[in-house]
Amino acid sequence: MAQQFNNRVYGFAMIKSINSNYNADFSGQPRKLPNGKVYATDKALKYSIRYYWKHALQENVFYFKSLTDDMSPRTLDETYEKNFGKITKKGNELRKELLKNILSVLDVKLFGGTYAGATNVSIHGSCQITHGLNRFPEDVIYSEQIMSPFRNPGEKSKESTMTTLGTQSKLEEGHYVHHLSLNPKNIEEDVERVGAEGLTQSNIDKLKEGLRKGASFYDSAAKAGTENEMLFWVKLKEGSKLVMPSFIEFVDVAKNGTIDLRKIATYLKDDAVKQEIETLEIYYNKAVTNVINLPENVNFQTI
Amino acid sequence: MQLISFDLQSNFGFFRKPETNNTLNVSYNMIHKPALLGILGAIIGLAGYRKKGELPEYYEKLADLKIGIAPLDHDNGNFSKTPIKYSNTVGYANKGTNFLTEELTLISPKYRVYLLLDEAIETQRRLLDNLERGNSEFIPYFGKNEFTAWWDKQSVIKHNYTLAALNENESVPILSLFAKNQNITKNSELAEVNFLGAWESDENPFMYFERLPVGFNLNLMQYQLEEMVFSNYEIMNAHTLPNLYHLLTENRYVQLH
Repeated sequence: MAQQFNNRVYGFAMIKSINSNYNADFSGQPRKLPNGKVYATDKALKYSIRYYWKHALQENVFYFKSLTDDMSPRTLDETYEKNFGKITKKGNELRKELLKNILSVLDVKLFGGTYAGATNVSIHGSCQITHGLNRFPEDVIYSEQIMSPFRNPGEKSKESTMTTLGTQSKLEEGHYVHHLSLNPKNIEEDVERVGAEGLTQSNIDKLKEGLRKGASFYDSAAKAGTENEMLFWVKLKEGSKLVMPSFIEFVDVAKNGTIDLRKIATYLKDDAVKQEIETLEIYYNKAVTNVINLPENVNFQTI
Repeated sequence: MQLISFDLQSNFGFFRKPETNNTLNVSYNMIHKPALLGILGAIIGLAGYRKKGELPEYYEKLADLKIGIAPLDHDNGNFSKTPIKYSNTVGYANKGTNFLTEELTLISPKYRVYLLLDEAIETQRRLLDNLERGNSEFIPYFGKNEFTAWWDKQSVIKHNYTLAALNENESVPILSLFAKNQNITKNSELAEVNFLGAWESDENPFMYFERLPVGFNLNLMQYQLEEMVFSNYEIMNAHTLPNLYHLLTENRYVQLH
């Protein structure tokens, strides 16, 4: 049996985005709050992690778009059958079998999922990621015109001799901070019910790798320039049930890009908090990222 | 019995109003009792929804708990909101096509929660213990699990209190949301805002109204709604309000329901 992972973890993942568009809204601009602050949904980060698992680690990922031979996306039941074979059972038996099968997949164990197809199952994932807020003091979005190389005649402009114009928007500089938590207890009961394998150390290593490399690995035209900047990982002692506040507002980024962790260091220094912590890890690249006021006893590694 | 309060907050929140259609999903502005009980249940590790038509364990065990809610860092009772649009392209949600949904999400919601706890009851004793230590069995969240919520254990306060004993015509400040039209008998007057009272505070006077769930209608299995009020005006005829508690140190009142 693989080594089980039973500790609670808190941390944050920081995504740097320079002249890039990490997470767009439906107008194509980076998502903005009413006060003008740029943010990104948890889905953007999870997508990059799932993509990394699937394409870099060749890991099986369940909640991911896949296409049938005629290029239409598979339904949930079709995806299930592709992974685990034809659905033959019914009712409670099916529920149990399905739960066991999808709980064996890495992304379901960590991020959970809702199954609403041949039967209904809902799994509360063990790893929860929050929306990421841009902690850089400025939120400068610019748009530029781009030209398509093709003529695109329409009903009214059959004679058009021009190629079409479009717009793309980018964020000049952003440092998005996503708070994250990991609580193995979330899936404990489901794991016991069907006798599946719980969270293992190897699952956690893959999660950390995804959090460190996923966004950098994913290079689309819009997301070129978006990279994983930092991962901060606080592993609590086994059995600790401490709730930590969101780290988002604890991270300050100066105009020159220097990251100040003073507020986190102060929070972690508190005795009641300190005694619950097993290890503190931080991952970033010293060559490009400048960090000040690191917490005590933190293990540094390059991202 | 202990009357305690603690401050619960998150970066975002979404307490879905079930009576909305698919174009824009909206959230209650205030956390409400059924949602709060879910968070308290998570703190002591009670189970959630299991089966259609069956109440979750946390509701069975905590429904009788007396709670009061007050928004913090608000703008006349309101939190700012932003519409967040999500697309789901995996094809599970809507056969073969993209599924789009839009949710009007609360930004930085923060609430002071008042609880009347009976330490003779094991679940409530455990709740108090976990709140004071800053511990939670499951990590709480505001409506959707990406909106992680937390409290500072220093914010847990035990109040000196008595059940309010008010005279008619006495106006008092009420710190929490209170139900507008409760138990009105023939000859009693409605509790209402005292517009003529002296105004000594720096804040602007305001009143905030919202129809909020206070529990479940068990026959229909849907929220039971009640008109709730939040105001910094003094409230006249507060003696008609049931379950009003007097916080002695602060000399303020809260309604627990």
